[in-house]
Amino acid sequence: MSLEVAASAAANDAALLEAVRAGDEAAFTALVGRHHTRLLRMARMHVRDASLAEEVAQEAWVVFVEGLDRFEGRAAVGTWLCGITINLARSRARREARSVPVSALGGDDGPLLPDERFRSAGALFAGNWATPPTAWPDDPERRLLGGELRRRLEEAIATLPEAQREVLLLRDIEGLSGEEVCNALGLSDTNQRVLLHRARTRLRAWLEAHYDGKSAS
Amino acid sequence: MSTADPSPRRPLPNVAELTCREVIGVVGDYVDAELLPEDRARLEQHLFICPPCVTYLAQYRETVAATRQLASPPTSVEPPASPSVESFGGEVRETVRGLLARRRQGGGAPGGGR
Repeated sequence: MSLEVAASAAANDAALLEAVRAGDEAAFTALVGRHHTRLLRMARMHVRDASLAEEVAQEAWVVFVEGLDRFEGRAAVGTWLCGITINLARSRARREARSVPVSALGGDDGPLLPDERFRSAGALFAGNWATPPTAWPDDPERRLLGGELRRRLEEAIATLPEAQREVLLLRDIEGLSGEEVCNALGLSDTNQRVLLHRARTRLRAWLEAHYDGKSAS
Repeated sequence: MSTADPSPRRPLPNVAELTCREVIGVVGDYVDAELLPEDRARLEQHLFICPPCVTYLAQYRETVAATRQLASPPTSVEPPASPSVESFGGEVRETVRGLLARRRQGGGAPGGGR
């Protein structure tokens, strides 16, 4: 999104918000039109069932209207809606018995890549590649992200630790800035960057395995 | 750091000082332009002599690019109908309408909330 587009979208949201504060249903409908699809995608990453995700996203709108007087306008409307949806989706996912181990929530889940990928300490060129990455094929499926690869990438994202998945979703899929993500999720800038990097690193490794598997078969 | 005197006998910056393992730890900040200028320069020096890390960086960027495409629906799928309050479940719709109506009448806070 260009800066101008982002700025005018924020201005539209602000104007709609004021109208909704005055009880304007058409303005509310316009906000739903602008944000609901995104909220659905976010909910969907937590609760894997589409109809549950729809429930969560709709509930987010109720919480939004209930909380209108608490919203001070420091964050963008979209960021605020994202925060509400993620919180609802998280608790719904836990209620749906997908209990998440505490270790899976944090950013520190071991080394970014397996130690074997690098020369061991004490060896010549310690810390440099032992098994370097090999270039990927020029795969149109990856560029257009269609078909099988799309579905499998979504599955790979679903297996990321929760905190990583949330940051990845907001930064790389929804296009929020680092600062907006910190606001929506209540993270420090450092944490946000670490979580994003870990998530991307895992997905790169997942794609690497995907292409290795293809060339091996 | 930048105030150091670049005397002629001073050794060249140690390009081997950044290991590949360290590089993969900071490519995210590099891609997002969040590295300090001096760290960026060190990383680029490493990339200059390390083709595998160049490959890794390209793959990292490709991964981000592929992930970004998840924001748009697959090209083969019809875009969903534009979402609206009318498509909300009856209870949700009535709750929202009630809350908005109260705002129109009182103009004030609906009190409670969660």
